Amino acid sequence: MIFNSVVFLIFLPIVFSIYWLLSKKSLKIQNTYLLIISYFFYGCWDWRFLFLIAASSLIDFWVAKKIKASEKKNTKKAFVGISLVMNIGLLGFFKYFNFFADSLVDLFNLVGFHADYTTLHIILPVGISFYTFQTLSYTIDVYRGKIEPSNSIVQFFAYVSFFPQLVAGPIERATNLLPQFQKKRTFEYDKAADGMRQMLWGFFKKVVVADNCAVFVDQAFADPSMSSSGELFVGMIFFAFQLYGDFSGYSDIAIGSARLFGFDLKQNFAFPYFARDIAEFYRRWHMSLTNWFKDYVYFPLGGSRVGLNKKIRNVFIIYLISGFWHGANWTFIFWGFLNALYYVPLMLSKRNRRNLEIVAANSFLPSFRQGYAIFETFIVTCFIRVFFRADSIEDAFLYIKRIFSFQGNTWGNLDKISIAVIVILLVVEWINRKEQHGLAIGNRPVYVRWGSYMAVFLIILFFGKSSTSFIYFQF
Amino acid sequence: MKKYIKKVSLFLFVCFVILTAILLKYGGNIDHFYNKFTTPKAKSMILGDSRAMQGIQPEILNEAIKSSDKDYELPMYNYAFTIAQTPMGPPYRKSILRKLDKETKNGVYILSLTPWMFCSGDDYNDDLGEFREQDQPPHNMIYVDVNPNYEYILRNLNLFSFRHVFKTNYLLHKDGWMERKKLSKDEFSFNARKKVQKDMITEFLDYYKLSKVRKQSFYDLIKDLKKHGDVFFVRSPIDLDILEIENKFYPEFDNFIDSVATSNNIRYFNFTRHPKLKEFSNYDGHHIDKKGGELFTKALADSILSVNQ
Repeated sequence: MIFNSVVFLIFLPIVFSIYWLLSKKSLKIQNTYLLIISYFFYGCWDWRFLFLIAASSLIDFWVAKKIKASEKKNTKKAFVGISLVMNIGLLGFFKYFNFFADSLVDLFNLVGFHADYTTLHIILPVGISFYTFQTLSYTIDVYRGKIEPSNSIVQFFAYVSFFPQLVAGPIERATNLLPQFQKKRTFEYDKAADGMRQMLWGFFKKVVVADNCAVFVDQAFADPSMSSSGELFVGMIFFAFQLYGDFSGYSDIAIGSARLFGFDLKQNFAFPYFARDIAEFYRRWHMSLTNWFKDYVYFPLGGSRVGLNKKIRNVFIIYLISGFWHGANWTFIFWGFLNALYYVPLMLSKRNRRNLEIVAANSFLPSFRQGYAIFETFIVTCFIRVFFRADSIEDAFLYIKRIFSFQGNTWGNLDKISIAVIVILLVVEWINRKEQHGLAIGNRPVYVRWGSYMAVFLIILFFGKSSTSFIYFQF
Repeated sequence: MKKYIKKVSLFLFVCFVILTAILLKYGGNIDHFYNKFTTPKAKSMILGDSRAMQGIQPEILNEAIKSSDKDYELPMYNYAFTIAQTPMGPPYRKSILRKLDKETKNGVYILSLTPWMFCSGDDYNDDLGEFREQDQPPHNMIYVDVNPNYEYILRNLNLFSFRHVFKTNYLLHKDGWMERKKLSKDEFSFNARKKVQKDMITEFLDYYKLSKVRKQSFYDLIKDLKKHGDVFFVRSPIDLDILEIENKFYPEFDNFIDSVATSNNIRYFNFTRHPKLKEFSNYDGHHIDKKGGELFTKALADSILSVNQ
């Protein structure tokens, strides 16, 4: 069951209505109900993986209790180790086994030893990269004393499997989400109404922006040698909007859905295409993952409070791991490497924390300098993303090489609708760039609000396309 | 909560009204099949794949055969789809019987037949009741005669293209005939379209195998339809090189249809051997265009009338 399906549009109001009918009863009923529907939601993909998520949740629930009960630091560490080994082990087996095996065989063959093995047919359980990180943060935070272990297995299981964000995030920290499961939710009109607005905007980004751009992008990346430089350049730019529309659209629908049930999830995208440098870009892009890596990998490594060499090492570690998290392919690792290369000069010149506030915070339009910085950051990240999208590093280099070959003088079958919807996206998000999401217009006059709702609905209806998945499901 | 439900309901209601208005006015522009499920049950039907859906125009047939001595129960309804949806088989048969007005005693049923309609690929096991078309319309539908048809929307939303309200390149008429529009008529475009069709049909050669289950379902369908009127078999006109591929795949096709026709006392009109074959113009070697369709439908009506004289 994916968000942009009729089934979900039927599922959500039914689940919502029953949830608030039950809300008069008790917290336990609310949580039990959410757990059941979350498992049902996940089971719609593949019911077999319900055992996996249940086992993972159970072990982390138990580990957290043991950490709390242990008095010796070493014992606590050992239990955190169990959680780490179990979660990373699950991820490693389901996501990376074939990658490591393939790479090892390639390495042996490269140095002259003949090696062979048969690839295992491992199906990647949807959402595993997200929920393993979520449960890991729980046990680590219990170990660090930031949060008390949950006393209710239902609460904890519901937190891990909470259906709006289970499949593709945001990766919620236990410190933010778990306490919300420990308190009975009451219906709040403003929260629910804003949740609906955010969902509507999420649908626009997914089915209008991302899925329209996808058509051109798929053609451009299918065989770069058959496309002109212009087509490849447009394909690269469109991919930026496809990826943003797809993933941030999913996040908006997830956060909006959660708000309907009385939950506040963390903002996952804060208008990253208005970022003025790469550091700001990643503070605004997939924020829940960036912050996860920052808190659980970067800071423990010393962060930026170490010597120069270690500082640079830490940046590379973070970006390489981030690349590897996205997928078992050298393209993602290289993508991470390029991001680190782009970031390091900024850090060395101590300009990486220069742009902490949103651009043009006190004016409507950016200055020329700000505009140029936004443009430059966007273009460079687009080129780096070619490695994210291409099937192999060689393909990515070929793609970029062909862009600069200036061959062919066409822009291809350029879809004017895609361009129009990208412009709409950018204009609306620019206007609301200080808000939590693009359609945060709750304080505007009623005709603006309703006019916007109807306009977005009509654009979705007339220009939406239907795809059967979200890009980030594969991660 | 009440305020929230009121406002959300108002929003959904407005969306619903807009959607309904679009379906009523542009149903034939925004989806290839939607209109077929918005008309009443049919007394007489044209059945088959895309050749029949685009090639046989019910309005012309109605006009021509209403003068028949047989006093057929009209109007005709074009309940043909494409080869992806309507190979012969239990799913199509079931849907035809849903659309058919069971009270009909003297209807006309034109079955437009191609070799591919009796075939299955290896991906599905017909013997186990698995059919490649089963998840598609009209087989995933229960209601085939309501207007507006929300069931179709719910089940097949991904097939709609609402942007075609602004730019139409086809129109599915209320009588089920699909008219292609705005087709460029130059030779280059024709050849490009024909190449697509030829490549597709050539791929069929490797993929498809004749299916006993589909043939059995064809016999069953004939029995069902004969209870309600006269049945006619038709092989639509197509370009000779595409016909050659078909005949290479199933050389005995005409003999097979002939034998079934003879044993069931049905007439088989094979327009691939028609003397005026070239006059039935098409736009891709495979599908008859509007003008060619008019001639073809008239010729078909004449053939039906000649049987009854």
